[in-house]
Amino acid sequence: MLLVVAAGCSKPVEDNIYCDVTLRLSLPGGKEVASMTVNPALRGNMFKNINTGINYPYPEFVGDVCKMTVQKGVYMIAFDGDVVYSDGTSVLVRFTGYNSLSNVRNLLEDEETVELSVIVLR
Amino acid sequence: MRRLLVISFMLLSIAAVDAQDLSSRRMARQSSVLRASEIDGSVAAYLYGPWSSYTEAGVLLKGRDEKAPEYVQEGNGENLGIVDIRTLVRMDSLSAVRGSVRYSNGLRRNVCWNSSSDFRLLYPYVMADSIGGNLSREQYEFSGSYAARRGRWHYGLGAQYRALHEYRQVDPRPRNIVSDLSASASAGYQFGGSVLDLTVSYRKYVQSQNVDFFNERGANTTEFHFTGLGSHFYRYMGSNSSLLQTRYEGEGVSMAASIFPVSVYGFRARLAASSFSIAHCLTNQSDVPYTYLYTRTLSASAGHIGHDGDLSYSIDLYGDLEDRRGTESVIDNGGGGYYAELMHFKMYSATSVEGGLRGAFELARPYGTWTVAPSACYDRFFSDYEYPYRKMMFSDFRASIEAGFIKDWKSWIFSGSVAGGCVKALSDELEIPDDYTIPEIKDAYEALFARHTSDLRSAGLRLYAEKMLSRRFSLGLDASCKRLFLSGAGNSDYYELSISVNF
Repeated sequence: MLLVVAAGCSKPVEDNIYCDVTLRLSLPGGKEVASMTVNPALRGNMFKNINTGINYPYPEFVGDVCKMTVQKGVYMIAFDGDVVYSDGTSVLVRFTGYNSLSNVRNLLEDEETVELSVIVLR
Repeated sequence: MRRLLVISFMLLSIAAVDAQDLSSRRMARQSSVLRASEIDGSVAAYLYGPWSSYTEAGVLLKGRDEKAPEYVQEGNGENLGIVDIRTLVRMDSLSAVRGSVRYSNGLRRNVCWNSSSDFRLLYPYVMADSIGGNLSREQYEFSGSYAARRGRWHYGLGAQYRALHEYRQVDPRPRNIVSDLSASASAGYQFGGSVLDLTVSYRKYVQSQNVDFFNERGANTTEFHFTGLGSHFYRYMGSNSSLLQTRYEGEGVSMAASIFPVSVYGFRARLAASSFSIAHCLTNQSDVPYTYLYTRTLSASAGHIGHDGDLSYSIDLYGDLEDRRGTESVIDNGGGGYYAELMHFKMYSATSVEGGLRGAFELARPYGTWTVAPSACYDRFFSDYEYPYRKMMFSDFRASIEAGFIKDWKSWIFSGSVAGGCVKALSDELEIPDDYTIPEIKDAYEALFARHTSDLRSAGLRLYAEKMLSRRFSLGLDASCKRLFLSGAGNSDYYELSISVNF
């Protein structure tokens, strides 16, 4: 009887549904970054799970790093962000590395690091 | 339909060979105490049952009209016509065969938020839209079993098959075809005045499903792939028919152990467990499974059937537990046209518990038999969804009583009963976030929740008349109706009318 009940558990199931993601900015020029913010109102900005449709807001980058927790899955990642350097100057940057269904990023481990090689727009 | 008729006539002709005293058997079939002696699921225990060979062939009309539907996913009304033939043939004192054929055809009205068949088996993983509409349905069911005794041992083999076709001919147009096959084997041993019976079963389930839109000006709604408590699989929603072809593939096993007396009267107990898993696959996306549902059940009951002078009774204490766990797949981006399942994790769970006490008492008098059947039970349902977190919980207490009278008069049998019941909601909780929930879907869940957390009362009436046309042949008419009174939400009506020949 217990075997019958236990039979329903035979398929391996991932226990932890969440992934702790570290986003690390990479800018040309090597200047020290103080912070970066991504405008959540801009429609092209996305950190989107392609299966569930959940679009996560970007937290503020402190230095060139930010951390966020998302559901494990396959993601489209793209944004325009305002970078402030340590010397007080600022630039607008763009990341389009994972911006379409044919170019996505899998976040399937408990912890993942994503390198964001941005281009400077102005 | 032709095969159905051929099989039906085969069953009728086999049963006619061994017709026995119909009058006493038909009286006994009205007894709810004796009905309590039937052992669910076993394909051999009926060898020990009180019934001699019989055949019942009937036409049944069944309907419901719900102002506040219990499950809007099954519509707010239904009209079904059913042809039902069942037979038990005792080949000799040591062996018997049993068979049944059932064909039903009808319409479910205003089915909403569900385009799949067998909603209660598959929820929460159904396809759904806000428009819905009437669903035509046609279902065939066949079952057969053979059982025999060898000394103190008994064994039995049986199988049953169900085929269902449901469809709608206006947009959105679901077309679902279900094949549901199960096979069972039973074996047991008689010790003293009791019998121990073990039954194992295997079930295979397949449902092919597609939803089409024919309107040239565009789809009038969006089809969703529901994943539980208002969440849905975003990636494949829409009205593109290539995203709306799916297949459910399930299989499972069950096991039951029963102990019951050789005669009708005495102690009986049953313990049963089942495990059933269903994958829901996207047919046009490499057949990738995007959800899995694992359903496990455990049920136990213990009771006693006894008699004391003119009084006979059955008392039964029971408990049922169902645990559902749903997992969702992470599907890759489908590079190269091939879709792969990268991993899957548990997102949905639901547990329902029911426990109660039911009984039947019959007092035989020279002028007829009085019957009373009270029951009371506690129900609790809890389900939650992992992320974004959602929760639904409710519990209630239910009680009912049915009182009736059975009269054997000349060549007639009459029985009638009235029933009353109530459901008292005890506790409830609903948590569905506004974020990531489409407002119409949230409204639908709130309506469903309100229905299941409402107090209600019920009243029912059943009348039965049977004319013995000869010692071997009778004609029966059975009519019953029931009304649910929901506070502030309108009434729901249910009725059944059947005409049967029995021999």
